[in-house]
Amino acid sequence: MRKYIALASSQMKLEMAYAAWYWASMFSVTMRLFILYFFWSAVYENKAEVSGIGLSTMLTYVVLATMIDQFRGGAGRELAQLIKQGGVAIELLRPYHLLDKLFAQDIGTKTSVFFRATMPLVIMSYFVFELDGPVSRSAGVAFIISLIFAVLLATAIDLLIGTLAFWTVNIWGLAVLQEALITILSGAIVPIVLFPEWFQEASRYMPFASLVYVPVGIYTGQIGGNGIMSSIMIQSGWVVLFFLATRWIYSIAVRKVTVFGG
Amino acid sequence: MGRPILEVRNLVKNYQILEREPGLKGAVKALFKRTYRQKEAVRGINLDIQAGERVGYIGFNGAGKSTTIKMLAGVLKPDGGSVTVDGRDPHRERIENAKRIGAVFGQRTQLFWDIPVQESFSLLKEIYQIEDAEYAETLQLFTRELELQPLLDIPVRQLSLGQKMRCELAASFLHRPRIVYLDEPTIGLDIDIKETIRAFIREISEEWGTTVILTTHDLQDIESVCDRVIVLDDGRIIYDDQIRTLKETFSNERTLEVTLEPHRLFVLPETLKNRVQLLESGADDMTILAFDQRQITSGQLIREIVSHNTIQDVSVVVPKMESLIRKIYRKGA
Repeated sequence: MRKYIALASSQMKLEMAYAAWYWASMFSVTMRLFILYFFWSAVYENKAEVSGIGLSTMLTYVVLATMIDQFRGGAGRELAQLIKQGGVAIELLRPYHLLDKLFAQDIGTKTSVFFRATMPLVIMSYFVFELDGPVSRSAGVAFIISLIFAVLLATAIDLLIGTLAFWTVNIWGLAVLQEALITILSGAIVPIVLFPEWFQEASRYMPFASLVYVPVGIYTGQIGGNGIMSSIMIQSGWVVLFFLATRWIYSIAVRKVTVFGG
Repeated sequence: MGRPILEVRNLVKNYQILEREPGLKGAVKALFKRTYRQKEAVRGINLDIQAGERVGYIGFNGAGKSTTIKMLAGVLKPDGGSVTVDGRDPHRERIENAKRIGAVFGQRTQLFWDIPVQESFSLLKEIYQIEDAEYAETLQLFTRELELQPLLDIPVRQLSLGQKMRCELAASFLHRPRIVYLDEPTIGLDIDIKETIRAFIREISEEWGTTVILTTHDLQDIESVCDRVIVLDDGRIIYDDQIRTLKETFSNERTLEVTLEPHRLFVLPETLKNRVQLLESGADDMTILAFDQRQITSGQLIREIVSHNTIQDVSVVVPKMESLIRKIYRKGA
């Protein structure tokens, strides 16, 4: 266990190794928040609500979605890099499971994201834009739980795509496709309730809504009552499913590793 | 001798290579129809290596050296045959095996690019679960032997190649592994650093009884570090013996380099024709002869040559490892 903690903390050091990048990314996420704020304020200029959602709910939604979106993936890309550039040879010499190592590092990265992106967003949101709090105290607690599952699921999906690099070598195309799908289908840009009926129905059978829509929906009250419990159950189911699938695919892949570049 | 620490039996590895016609047309074609060719990188290798041995593993580029090393280290799964390291299958029990081995793959770094060397080491300490006291002692030893002190606070990306390689080497020995695989650890380094690295490998291996398997293109590395040499060609072992034996086999062989006065032609006396071999003649007025001391002494040979030629310079050369190995290649091929 200690080695994984060490890996996570060293990853945090890595995240802070480049000061300019660190501050620039903090700045850019804040800028993004401003843009979203003014965009939606303009949309609501002549309307009280869109599909039954008022401005303040919508703003709360997009701000939280932006916040959660920052936690998306990284471990999978790292894995794909390792495979493509042959670094996987070094990793396989180490006394750890590569997936566990990547996961530990991912926790490090995401802890760093929390301080670099989440904190500034939260502070800005409450003090500058005066966003709504969670609909109830219990919704707040459920939101945190759901958020953790969402972050884990994002990592798991990303790792799964990364594992495919053992076969395809270059996963750039897949990664872009994944990005696009997730950005739209997770509700990271607009809430899923704004999509057509059939799509909302279909999204219940896909993992994407669990990434953003579920935690934010719980916070804003769009998901309430029994929906909270079942949504979180579905989220955790996806997390388990994706982690198991990734491990299984990885165990097959390791048998056919080829190391590039000698 | 007890049971070997490393046993290799009929080891085989094949690669699939994508066949692609040249040019843009070939590239487009390969998008739709992929044809593969089998390349047999390693074809049936047998090895027994005792604990504490230092083995040089050499061969031309593409002979299968790195592939073998990666199978021994458990990174690649063999297509046939078996590897046993300390009683374990290194691929199936990869993690257990990994605790007991170290490696330098000369062209890749195992240090963390963005953080100082010291941090990389302390991360390795946690990964290999090295005791505090042992870690401190080892690090102190390595810092002295490899002159690491000024490097410890520098991020790896800012190190020169020589500095980086010293750190890599320290990293691979840090957890006191039973076996260390060194794949071209001296590639691209200057003489001074090569010397430091060789001395380090030799001393540490002697002190801890570490088994070392070293691939290199610099035979000086082998001569100064190893006590056994294995020559690989086209996926097969063509020579495997103690360096001492190798040298003894060829110990009576010499070459004579003769430089004539300008514009003279070399004349080989009739009496010598059966006893010496003309290796090279003509270029830059330099002539090279190979002979065996048991058949003719250097003195006799020179006397004969001088009496038939007008000579500017002459020297007797004791063959180096390099020419011995070249001989093996010629025989093996």
